[in-house]
Amino acid sequence: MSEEEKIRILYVDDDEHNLNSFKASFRRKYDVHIAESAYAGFELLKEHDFHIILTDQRMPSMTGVEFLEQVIKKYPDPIRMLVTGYTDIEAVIDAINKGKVYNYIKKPWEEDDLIVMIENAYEVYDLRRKNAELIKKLEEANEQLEFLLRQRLLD
Amino acid sequence: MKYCRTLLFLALGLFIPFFSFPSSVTLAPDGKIKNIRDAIFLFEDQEGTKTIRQVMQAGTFEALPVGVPNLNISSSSFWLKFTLDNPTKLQDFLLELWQPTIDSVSLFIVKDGRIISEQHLGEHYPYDQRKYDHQNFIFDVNIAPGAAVTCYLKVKSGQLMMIPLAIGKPTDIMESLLRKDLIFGLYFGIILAIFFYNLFIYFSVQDKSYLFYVGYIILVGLVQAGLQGYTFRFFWPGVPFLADQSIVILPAITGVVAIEFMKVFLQTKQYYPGFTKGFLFFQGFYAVCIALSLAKQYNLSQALIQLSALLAALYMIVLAVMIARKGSRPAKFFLIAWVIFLLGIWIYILKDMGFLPYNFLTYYILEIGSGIEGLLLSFALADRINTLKQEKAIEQAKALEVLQENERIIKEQNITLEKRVKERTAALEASNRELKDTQAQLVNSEKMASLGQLTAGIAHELNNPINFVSGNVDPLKRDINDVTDLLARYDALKVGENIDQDLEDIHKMRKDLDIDYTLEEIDTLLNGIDEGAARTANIVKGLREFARLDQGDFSSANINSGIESTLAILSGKFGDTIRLETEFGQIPEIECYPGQLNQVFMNIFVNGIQAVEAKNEPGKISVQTGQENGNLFIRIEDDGVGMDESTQSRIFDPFFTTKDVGEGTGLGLSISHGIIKKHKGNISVMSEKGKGTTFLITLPLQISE
Repeated sequence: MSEEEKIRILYVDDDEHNLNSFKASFRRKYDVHIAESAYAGFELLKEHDFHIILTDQRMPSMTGVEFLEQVIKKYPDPIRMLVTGYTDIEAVIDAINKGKVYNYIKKPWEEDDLIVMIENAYEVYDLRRKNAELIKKLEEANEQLEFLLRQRLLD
Repeated sequence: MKYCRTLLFLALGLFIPFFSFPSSVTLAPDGKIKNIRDAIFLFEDQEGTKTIRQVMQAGTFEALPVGVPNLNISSSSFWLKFTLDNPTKLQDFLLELWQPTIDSVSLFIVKDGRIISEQHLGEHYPYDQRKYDHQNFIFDVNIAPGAAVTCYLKVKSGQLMMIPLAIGKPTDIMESLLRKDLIFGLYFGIILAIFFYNLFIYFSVQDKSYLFYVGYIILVGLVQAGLQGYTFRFFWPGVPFLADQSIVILPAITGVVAIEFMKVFLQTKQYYPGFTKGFLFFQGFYAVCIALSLAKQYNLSQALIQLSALLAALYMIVLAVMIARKGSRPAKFFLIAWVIFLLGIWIYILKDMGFLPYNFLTYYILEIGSGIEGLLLSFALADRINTLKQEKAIEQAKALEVLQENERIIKEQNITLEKRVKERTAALEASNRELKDTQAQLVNSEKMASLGQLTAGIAHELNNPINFVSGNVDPLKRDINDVTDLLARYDALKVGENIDQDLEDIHKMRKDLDIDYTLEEIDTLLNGIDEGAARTANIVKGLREFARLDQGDFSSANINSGIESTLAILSGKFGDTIRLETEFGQIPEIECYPGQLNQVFMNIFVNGIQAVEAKNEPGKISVQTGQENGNLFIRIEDDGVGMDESTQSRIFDPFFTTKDVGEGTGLGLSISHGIIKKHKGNISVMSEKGKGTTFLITLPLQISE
């Protein structure tokens, strides 16, 4: 995988130690970007096209679910995942219904598990993207065919 | 007694005997007492104005039948004429008229057409003017031995009059008078004895019939005394008016009282209530008689009393027979008493008419009859009381039986009730046991809920540091591997050959690996591990502090550190919207159950956090501790939603909760209250809806267990 094709991940957490740990764990494999708050996350979203977004749930001023809710409106494509050390069923329900998360990750995480999840998530992301491209190509082909058909009919 | 003369009158009306009329009365030999019952002639002077001379010259005398002369009630003056022959050698005699109630009596003795003696007596003359001290009228009669005199006796009275006359020598007459006094004294003594005896019985028994009886008996005695002239002689000797009145009024009152007595005695109301009302008529009649007497209408009044007495007596006898037929013992006694009394009257009449000889029995039969009647009635009363007593005894026996039956039933019911109470008690004890078990379970579940909160609280707090401790290990290993690899390359470096090329390779590798960043990262990761370990250790320490909850030992502890450890556990719950302010005062360690007190603090903090969160805006919770008046106080204040008064008054009640079903046990504050009470402290709440809530806990510095 070239530098360009590395999976680009955004991780948002209010605890800098978690951010450091995450970055240290995955920077070799993936293009990891970290943000200390939801606002910092939004800033990064403006600059980069992320494939996967992970966020901690419990953060001051804006929770993970609220952040994801906002993200969906502008950036619907990245696969979203919620990370939390907190087993609150309400948060889980909100994460699924409002944050539309692909997966729910419990702290402390297992690096290997997380890698599998990230890979799977990216696969989904990639398939969706490819699907969209194929549909686009199909539509183009269809248009060309229609154009040809019209010309044939004129002739 | 008053009936007697009525009946006498009747009896005489029924048996009018016919005898030949001797023309004169011959005195008994030796001057013994002789009753004058024949050879009496009567002239009625209707105007009552004729003088003795006029009567002697023009009086139309008619012979009276044999017997005691009987004169009708009339305003006329009656003249009785009889001739006395004196065959004896005696000269002084006394003529006795045994009828003391005559208003005026005059005796004129005529010898050979010449009036030789004229004597006036009667109730209309004051008693003390009498020559002979006796109520009977006593006249001096002087007849020379062998001679004869004609006597004219003028009597005037408003009443029915019997004129029993007797003549004899003075000693005999006086003796007879004394005997009469004695007999009447005996009779009156008996009456008085009966009177007092029954009066005392009345006082003791309080039976109304006794009261009427004693009234009746004393009135009978007085009437009898009046008829015999004793009342005039002893009670009102100088008052002819009273003598007149008493003769009418006393019998009338006697009649009224007698009727009342008989009503009670025979229980007429019970047997014949209708007939009983009839007595009112007689009593009214008697009242009219009394009024007439007071109006000085003596003759009419006397006549009406006689009539009333007769009718009342008949009425009473008929009623008594009717009641006796129904089996009333008092009625039978009453009839026997009356039969004896009537028998006495008949004997008296027959004696007066000459059918029976004059002797002690016949002479005093009226008194004897009346006395026996009184005694029999007295006896009957006693018998009646006995009967009543027996009836009462029977009733009491019945009542006793009923009572015993009731008692038996009550005993049975008691046994049943006791059984039921036992069953109920057993059931109650069982449910009490169940309740206690349930309570224990609830207390336990509340403890579990506390633990749940505790674990939920610490889970997040622990998960984060554990995450970066464990998560840092792998990248750290990789970083160190990179560094070691680089070092290995340096180690493998050989001086001489291609060293520059090698160094350049190493340098390139170093750049590829970004060793500077790696070293920096190693530092960061180590810091993370350090921080994580420290945080974890801190939480575990707080947990251990708090978990003294489970060790129930009474030990010395500092409340400030207990609150701190509780807050440490709850720190995750405060989040960023709730500001915590602590102001710990200088307080000594106190003997307490630290774990239990921490449970109390946690309950209050959790409630405070929820109250602030419910407000949906940033808030604060403040804790203040200190010492005051030998007590330690902990004030925990929040600016949450607060509570209304009804909620405040109930928050320490078990199972009271404002949370949704399943969210709270409703026991937290109730158990907290119990814990503070166990520490001899006090917990109170002040709250205002919308403003916040303050809990104030005071604990004594010295808790003696």
